[in-house]
Amino acid sequence: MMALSALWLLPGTHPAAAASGDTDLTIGVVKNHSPDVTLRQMQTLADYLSAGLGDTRVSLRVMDLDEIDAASARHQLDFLLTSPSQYVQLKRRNGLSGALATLVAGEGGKPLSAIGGAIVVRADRNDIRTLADLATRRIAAAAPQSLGGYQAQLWALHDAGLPLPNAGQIEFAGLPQDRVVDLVLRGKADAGFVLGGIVEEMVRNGRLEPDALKFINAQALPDYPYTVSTYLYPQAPFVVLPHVSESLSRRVAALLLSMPAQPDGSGNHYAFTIPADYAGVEEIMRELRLPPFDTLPRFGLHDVWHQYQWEMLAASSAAFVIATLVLMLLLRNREIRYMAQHDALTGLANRALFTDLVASTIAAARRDHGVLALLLIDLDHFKSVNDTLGHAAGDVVLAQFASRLRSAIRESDTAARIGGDEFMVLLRNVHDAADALRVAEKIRAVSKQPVVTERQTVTLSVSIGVALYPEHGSGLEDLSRRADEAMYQMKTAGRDAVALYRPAPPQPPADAASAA
Amino acid sequence: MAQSPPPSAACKVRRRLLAALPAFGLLTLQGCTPPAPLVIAAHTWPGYEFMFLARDLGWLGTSGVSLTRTSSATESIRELEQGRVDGAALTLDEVLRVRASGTALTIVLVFDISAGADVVLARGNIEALPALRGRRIGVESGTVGALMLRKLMVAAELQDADIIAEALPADEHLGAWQAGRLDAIVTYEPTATLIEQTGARRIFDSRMFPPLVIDVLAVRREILHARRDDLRALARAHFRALRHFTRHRLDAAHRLAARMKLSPEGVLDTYRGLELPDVAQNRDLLGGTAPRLAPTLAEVSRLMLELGSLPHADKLAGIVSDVALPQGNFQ
Repeated sequence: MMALSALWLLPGTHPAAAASGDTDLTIGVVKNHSPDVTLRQMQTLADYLSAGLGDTRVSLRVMDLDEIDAASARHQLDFLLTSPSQYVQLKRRNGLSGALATLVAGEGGKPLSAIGGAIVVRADRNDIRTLADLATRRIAAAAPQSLGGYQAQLWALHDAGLPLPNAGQIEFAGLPQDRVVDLVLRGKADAGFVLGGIVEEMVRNGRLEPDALKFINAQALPDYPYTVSTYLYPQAPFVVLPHVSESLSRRVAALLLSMPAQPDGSGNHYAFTIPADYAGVEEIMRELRLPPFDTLPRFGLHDVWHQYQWEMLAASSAAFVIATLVLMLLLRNREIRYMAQHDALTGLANRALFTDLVASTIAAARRDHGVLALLLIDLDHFKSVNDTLGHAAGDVVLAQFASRLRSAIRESDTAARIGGDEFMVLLRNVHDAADALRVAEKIRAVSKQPVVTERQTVTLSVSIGVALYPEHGSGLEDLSRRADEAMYQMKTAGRDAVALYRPAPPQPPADAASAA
Repeated sequence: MAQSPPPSAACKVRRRLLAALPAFGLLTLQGCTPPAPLVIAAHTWPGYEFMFLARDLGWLGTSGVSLTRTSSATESIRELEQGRVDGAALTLDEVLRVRASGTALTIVLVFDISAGADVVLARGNIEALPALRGRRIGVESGTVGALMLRKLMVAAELQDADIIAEALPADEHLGAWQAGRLDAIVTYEPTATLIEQTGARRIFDSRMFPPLVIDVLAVRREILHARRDDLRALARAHFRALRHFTRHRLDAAHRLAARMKLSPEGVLDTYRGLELPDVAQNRDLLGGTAPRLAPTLAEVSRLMLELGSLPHADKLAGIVSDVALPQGNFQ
């Protein structure tokens, strides 16, 4: 089996790749550096693969990340060597298999298997010294899908608990990454998010003065040749797109992993090793809600529940308990107030409430020049009813009377129990004595209906004294005294009657008062 | 130097209330002194580095935990026995030895299990284990060395008298090897990789017998519940750094390289010989009714008794606890 597959890998002994229609292969390479630099660096890769595959021509296209995105979708590319972040994005969207290999770049003779992001500002900017100073600044970054030129720096801010720059602050300079440095140098941006190593490369090529820029949040990594401001992440993955046949992918993978280190045209070498673990990259993209993980709600209700379930349960129980207590308190208050203002037996207003009501009603009537009537009602012979039938029966009689009283008066009128068998009614909306007396008569009539108690049926009668505001007095005291006087006269005259107060004439009394 | 007593639970509650609701300003903090930090001693060993990595990355934060670097396990033990530190990073046999001398310790975290990190290296002319007969073997005095040597002898079918053992402290291993007088050496990382790079061959390592060489965090029993919150904070920080190592291996390797004085590749090589148990595995080892670490402790205790390093067998009462481990799904 092993021998057979080895045969398979030798050029010339395999079925023509033309069978699957891909004699020409294209590798899309991200142009972190200027296109001709990248092309020069990677051409050896294309030549090597072409030679290894035999009758297949491998070519390179150096593109920016958007172009790679579009071209992959249209199957114009077969392989990619790109930013780990773009790999994660495409993997998710297109269902790519894992990377075939990971780049190992060279720097000063040492293999470099990691990349990082740098944050640079002009050296003369004394106002920007730490990550926190980046808030509200204009920032130039390479591209949204760039790991070393954007996402790594976002994560460094996020990790430090700092707010991420909003869309308005960021300007994407596009690739190659030198453009980010240019924007910072020209003052078009306050800070730049650029792949680690680009600044050093620009200095080496004479395109940048060595002390023109300074780094923010530089990490202490003595074994890493470039200055970076973020974590280190795996190098670029070599990715095969899903439309490429499996047998071809296998051959390319074998060639890559056995490729001797190739010169990159600037004194360094590069090679490929087994694919790195990009889970860390995927994780930061998820946490930052970067595409393709931006379709999830930022922090939906589900997340809130999941994260804070105990707090929420505790809070809602506490809230519930408090709400219940408050409700109970309010209800109790209402109850107490009601009991303080009303007579328990009859439910009518008590003296205290009535006094207040009369006072406020008189005040209003004074303003409006209205007329009010005060009725003072006395139950005839109630005391004997109480003594004969007992207090329980007496209470029944009183309660019954009260309900009849309520039925006889209007909505706008108020009835009150002032004493043991003494009641008062305040009549609003009366025009004259006639109105008042009419209501009083009605009360007298309903009072005569028999009241059924346990022992026997009782027939009541009442004596009612009427006084008018403002005619007979200006306050409750005056009015009640006048009404009392009227009633007293009538009681002596025979009870079961309504009497309107008439001021005693200065002359000797004439006729006895009589109902109008 | 005596340590001030840890704050009472009531004091902690008051402190938190005050922080959360300044309206509780009527509460006084009288009698609440700022708590002394929990002090943990650790010498340089790959398994212990995650705590320090967490500290470097700011993940120990404002927790009341302080890490102190010692030069050897012996120094850590001395600090522990004299009450200057609350806990130390030690191997199982060291824990048992401290307990035998009177300081009650409890294991609250398992840092690593040697799976190849402890090795026997030999010169190129020694092809197989039996060829060790009559040879000179360097070994650190102490239980791990003795354990490795014992297991080596069993595997080589040799008696103790068949070889010449030379006692060597760990920091002299490389020098002694380069001086040329040793035929084989029982050593561990990171020295092992350095000696291997001179051409020595690995003829035996800790993968060849069931896990016995285990490194743990042991604390004085009396602080176990009083400083539970601080212990939890420390454990959480350790697991967070361990997770960083798993997820961002390259970054972690570079950061550890500076501290361990190795290259990043060397760091990754070092950890290849160590099993690093996560939270779930720790729960398995330390928690429940039958913690998996217990039988291992029993065997180590038995071995030490045979070797004469323990005066009497340890009854293992209260020797492990899972109280410091994070609850629930620690991701």
